[in-house]
Amino acid sequence: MLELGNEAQVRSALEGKSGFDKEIEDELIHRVAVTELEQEQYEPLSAAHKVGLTISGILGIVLAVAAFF
Amino acid sequence: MDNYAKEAKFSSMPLLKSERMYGMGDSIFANTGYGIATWCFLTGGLMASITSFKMAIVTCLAGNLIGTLLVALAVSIISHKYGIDTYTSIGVFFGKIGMKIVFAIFLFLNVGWVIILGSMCARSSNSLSTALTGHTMSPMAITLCTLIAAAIMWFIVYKGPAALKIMNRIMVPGLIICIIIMAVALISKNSWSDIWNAQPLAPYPEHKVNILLALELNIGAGISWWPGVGALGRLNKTKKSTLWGNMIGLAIMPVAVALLSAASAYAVGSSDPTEWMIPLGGIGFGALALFFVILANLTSGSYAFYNTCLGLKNYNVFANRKWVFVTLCFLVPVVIFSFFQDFMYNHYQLLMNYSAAIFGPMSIIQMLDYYYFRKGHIDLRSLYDVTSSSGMRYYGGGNWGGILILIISTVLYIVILNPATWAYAPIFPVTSAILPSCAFALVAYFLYGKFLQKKHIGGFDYGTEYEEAKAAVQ
Repeated sequence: MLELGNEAQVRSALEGKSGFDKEIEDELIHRVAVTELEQEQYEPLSAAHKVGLTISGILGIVLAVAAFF
Repeated sequence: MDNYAKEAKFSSMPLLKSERMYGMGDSIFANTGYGIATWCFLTGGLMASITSFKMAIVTCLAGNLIGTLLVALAVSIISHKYGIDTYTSIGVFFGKIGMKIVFAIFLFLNVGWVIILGSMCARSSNSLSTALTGHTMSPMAITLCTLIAAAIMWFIVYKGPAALKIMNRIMVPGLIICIIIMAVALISKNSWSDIWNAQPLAPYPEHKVNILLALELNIGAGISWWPGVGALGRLNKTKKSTLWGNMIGLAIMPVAVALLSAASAYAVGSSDPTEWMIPLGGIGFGALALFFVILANLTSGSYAFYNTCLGLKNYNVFANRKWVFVTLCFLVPVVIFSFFQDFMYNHYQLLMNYSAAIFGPMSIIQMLDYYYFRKGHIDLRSLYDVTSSSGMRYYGGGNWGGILILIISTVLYIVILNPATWAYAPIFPVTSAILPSCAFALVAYFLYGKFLQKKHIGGFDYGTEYEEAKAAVQ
């Protein structure tokens, strides 16, 4: 069973398999475990930002179509 | 261990939340620093030759918004979420060996970009020197200046993202102020209605073809940020600063500069800023503006240099080496090929146009793979496992089917519209080149991805495992 952020589990999955030297590999294992936990901690996009980005994309498409008329 | 932790910004390892250094302001500055360079002026000049000023506004904005958003969603989101650069993330979609092969091609392109940006610095310096002293540099002196620019880029990259952050804080506001003053000077010394109603300078006979070419050029310009946005995305603290940084710094700001350049092409007959900035702004102000253009080229080149060196860290020969060694190794081909800077500068448009041909379908494959097949989750354990036990091993280390689809999509683009000559097939006025190329990539990779999923190859199952693990924690 996958346990996110479980460093021992990450170590057993990665140790000796990354191609890095031992010390760098230890750092990598730590970082992979931390990142597994942190990936959901970043502030999600608010509705306003989602709408803003959607409008940017739609504006691009509308302008591209409008250029032909 | 601490030393390796400090080296994380200079490696292919994930960058942690506490190490991210760009908020919204710095992200916009960093993207603008990467986005604005002499190429914006050259693109503006090209726009003036095939479209009216009004159409230049519409097509520039449309193409850059579409292209940049595509790249932001395909690359930046992943790089921000996992703290990995663009090239490391390709390992997910193409496998570790596949990534190395694909990167080897980009390495060649990136050497070209760094030299072109160095050459742009040298040419701006030449104009500055001509204006101030009356002496024009010899071709050898321009090559020497290109080498000096490359050495400065190397030093900035060696110092890392913190040095780039400081440089952007100086360069970006200065350049924006200069651009605004130049725009005001251009409009005040020329008739606004003449610029507004300006017609294309050397268009193709068919109006529709001109519009399509302008859109292809600008979508290509937006998509051409593909190699660099990952290195920027991993440095961002929030998702909104990542995405808006891309949209403002890479889509809006370069468009503003390209349009100013197009306006100058209609009004004074030249889009080359080194030719019109001093006559327009006077010696003092024009020289200052050129100085900021030189800085802009240096920051853009430094980002291209930085991204490439991060990519090199994925190779075993560089993975365990110090950053200074990696950057010096990349500097070697840059120095050697700098002696051909004139040839490279004159063919810069080739690199830009081929970017659309390659990075358009590449972005589609990445988006489909990440959002649909992986449900927005990447298995980092498999990504960094280079042995046969990795879930992203595919077939012998490479997603050869995916790479083949990318190659066919790129060839399809080139057959419809040759990026080198702009010669086009009869179907081009009906379909454009980017749409069929991306559509093929979408359909082909969807079918191929389904096949991989069925065979449990490529680590697609991780999305489900992740959701279950997350549910178990909650």
